[in-house]
Amino acid sequence: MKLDINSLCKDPLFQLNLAIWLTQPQHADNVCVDPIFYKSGLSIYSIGPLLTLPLDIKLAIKGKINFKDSIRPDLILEKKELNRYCLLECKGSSFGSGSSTAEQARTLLLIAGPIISEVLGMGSRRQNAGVLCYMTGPNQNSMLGTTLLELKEEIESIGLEPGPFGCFEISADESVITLEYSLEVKELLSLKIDSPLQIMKLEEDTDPRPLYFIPYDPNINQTAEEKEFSRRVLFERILEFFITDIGGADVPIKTYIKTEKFLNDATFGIYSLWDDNEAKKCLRKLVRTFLKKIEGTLKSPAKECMHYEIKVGYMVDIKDDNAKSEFLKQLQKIKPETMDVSESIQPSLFESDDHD
Amino acid sequence: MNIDMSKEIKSIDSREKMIRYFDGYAAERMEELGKKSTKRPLVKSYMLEHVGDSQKQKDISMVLGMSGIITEKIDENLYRVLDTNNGNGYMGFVEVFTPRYFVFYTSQPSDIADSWVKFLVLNSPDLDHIWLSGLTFNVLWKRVIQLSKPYRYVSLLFVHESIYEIDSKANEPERDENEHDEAQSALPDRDVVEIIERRAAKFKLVDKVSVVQEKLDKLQELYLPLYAISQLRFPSPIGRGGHDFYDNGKVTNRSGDFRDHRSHILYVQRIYDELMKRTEERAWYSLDKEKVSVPGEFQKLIGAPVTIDFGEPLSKETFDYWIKSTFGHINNKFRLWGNPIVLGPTKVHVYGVDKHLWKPIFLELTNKHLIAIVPKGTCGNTIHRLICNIQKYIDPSAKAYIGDKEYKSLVDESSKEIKYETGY
Repeated sequence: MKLDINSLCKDPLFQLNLAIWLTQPQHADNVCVDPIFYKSGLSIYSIGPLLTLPLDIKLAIKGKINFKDSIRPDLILEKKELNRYCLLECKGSSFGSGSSTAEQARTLLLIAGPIISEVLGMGSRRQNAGVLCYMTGPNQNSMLGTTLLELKEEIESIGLEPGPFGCFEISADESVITLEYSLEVKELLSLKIDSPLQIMKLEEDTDPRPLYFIPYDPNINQTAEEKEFSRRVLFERILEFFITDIGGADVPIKTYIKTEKFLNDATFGIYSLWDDNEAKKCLRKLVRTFLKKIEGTLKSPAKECMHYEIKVGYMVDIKDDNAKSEFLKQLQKIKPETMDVSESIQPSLFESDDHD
Repeated sequence: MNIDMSKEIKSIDSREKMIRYFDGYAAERMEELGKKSTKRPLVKSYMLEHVGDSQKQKDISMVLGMSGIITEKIDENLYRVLDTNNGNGYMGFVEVFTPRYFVFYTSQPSDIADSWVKFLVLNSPDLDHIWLSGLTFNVLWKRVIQLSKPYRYVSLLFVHESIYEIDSKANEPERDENEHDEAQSALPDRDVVEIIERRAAKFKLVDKVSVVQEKLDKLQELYLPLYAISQLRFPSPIGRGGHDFYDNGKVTNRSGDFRDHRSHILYVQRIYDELMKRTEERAWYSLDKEKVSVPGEFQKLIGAPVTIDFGEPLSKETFDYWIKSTFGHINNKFRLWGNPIVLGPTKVHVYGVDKHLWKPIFLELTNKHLIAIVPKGTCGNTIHRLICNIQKYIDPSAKAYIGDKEYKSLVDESSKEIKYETGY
């Protein structure tokens, strides 16, 4: 099946990873992703930070507009020489001013205003400047711009000051992926190149996804293909860290497998930031299912080195170099692609979680 | 087994005696080299790298002990090395330069010493060779020009073999690459070896420094495998001959002085250490947690991708064979493990493992480039080895970058920081 690249451009996980690549230093020729943010002096200040509104602002807006008490923008970019911070949020498509997403947007607009310094703990009000930018899929700029303008006017109507805002629209044709942004966004972030900017060259019959820094996010809407891809990457990484943990350990090895550790390793520590505890629980269960499948594929004598203990979880018990070598050999033959871990797992009532 | 050598080493119980022993030994070999008949093997040294993380660093006795090798302390940093396996006896000495870098001195014949060190490295996830790529040697060669008189003779060895540029082999049944090598070398009658058509270059250039200086750049432009320098001689500043550095950190003493040999090793080790620090500092990816008062932790992603660009795109067949050979076999030239995620005819992603040190590495491999994301803790040696192997087996003219910085300039800066000291 041919990949619909414009559909991929709507995937928030693809957008987030692309945005990270845009901040990565790369040499001038033959780049993977043209790093416009890096070239313009923008760097990652924070990934998925938890931000809350100051108390006086909360009191001022309570009952007047709908907002969120706290929020995690996908990225905060920093432009040091201008003392400017860009809250970057990835969205597949536009949303209306009555939606729950609009509550997030109002909160983000407020934070991007003069209170940004206080919210980030960087100083007093107006000491730093903020800007809110959405990264969206094709043909969303105009609609999203209209919604944001409405929300801005709502905030102003109650006497508060929202921050400036704008959009980055990602779209693809047959040969390139293009990033479009308004002149205002270009000036706000002092971007060094005019829009539209070709950020990725496309190859025939080739998926343009770059290496994913963040392979998975349980809280975003993705197509079935995108979910399958993210899950594949996540499991490849978990297997990778399982192999490195065992390979680098000295015998005798006696260790419990910490699913949380693997999930943190596999996501550059982002797992611990996710707020949704139910989703995290599901994910841990998914990893245990994966470990169960791994255990099921092991053959003697490697099989005897891994077992499950109720309430504790999986344990690896390797006595000597020969056993370690055999265990690693069998782990290296495992192909997550062929293991069916695609089922959606729902947490059940009174379900016990392993002590991991 | 070399019984004489084992006995000689056993009797050496101080650093001074070791220096005198190897100095005298080197002088004798130099005389024999002049007569074109050496009676005993030359002294050779092997530069080794241990883990960089001070929390995980082990004592040399523990590192070698895991392979059943006994170290007998001579002084704080010098040890006799005894291998009781297979009746090997005393193999030489190991000197600890820093907790991260060791050097093993021996006068065993090359074939014995090479495979003994190879076994040590293969057997230990805590030990690796140091890896001097063609790009690094090209910078070291500039230092040789600066340090040597123009009339001195220099020797360079160029090795490039496009082992993945082969069509018929791609359809062979599963067989480990190392098995393939062994099968080839074990053939009793070389006449029956099939004709393989692929680019393979291995030749040695010996000439005056001034002549090579004038010609090498032009020759490299004309013939790309000349970028793949895999051995370089530093002419001895105090006499005839010099010190031959190989890409895997082996150094053969072809001079009449051991102290000069050791100081050349120290010089290159310091450059390598500096290069390693700079590489790791730039390339290591991690979430840097910055704690601020409100409202908690901020996660700043730091690091830079490693990019290796090929001079010319690889053919589809070569690319396929490279991926199949590397990730289809447990033993492979790159010592990598991973399940390729195919994203196109000439693009794969691998969330893999560097099996030398059992550390993670994320790779994008295409017919035009290789991009590596190196999580913090993965040794910088992984990057140097990768570059070395790409130049040796894929593309001798490949260029490497750490972020937007060219690898070559990183080596150049590292080498400029180091003071050069001759012998004594």
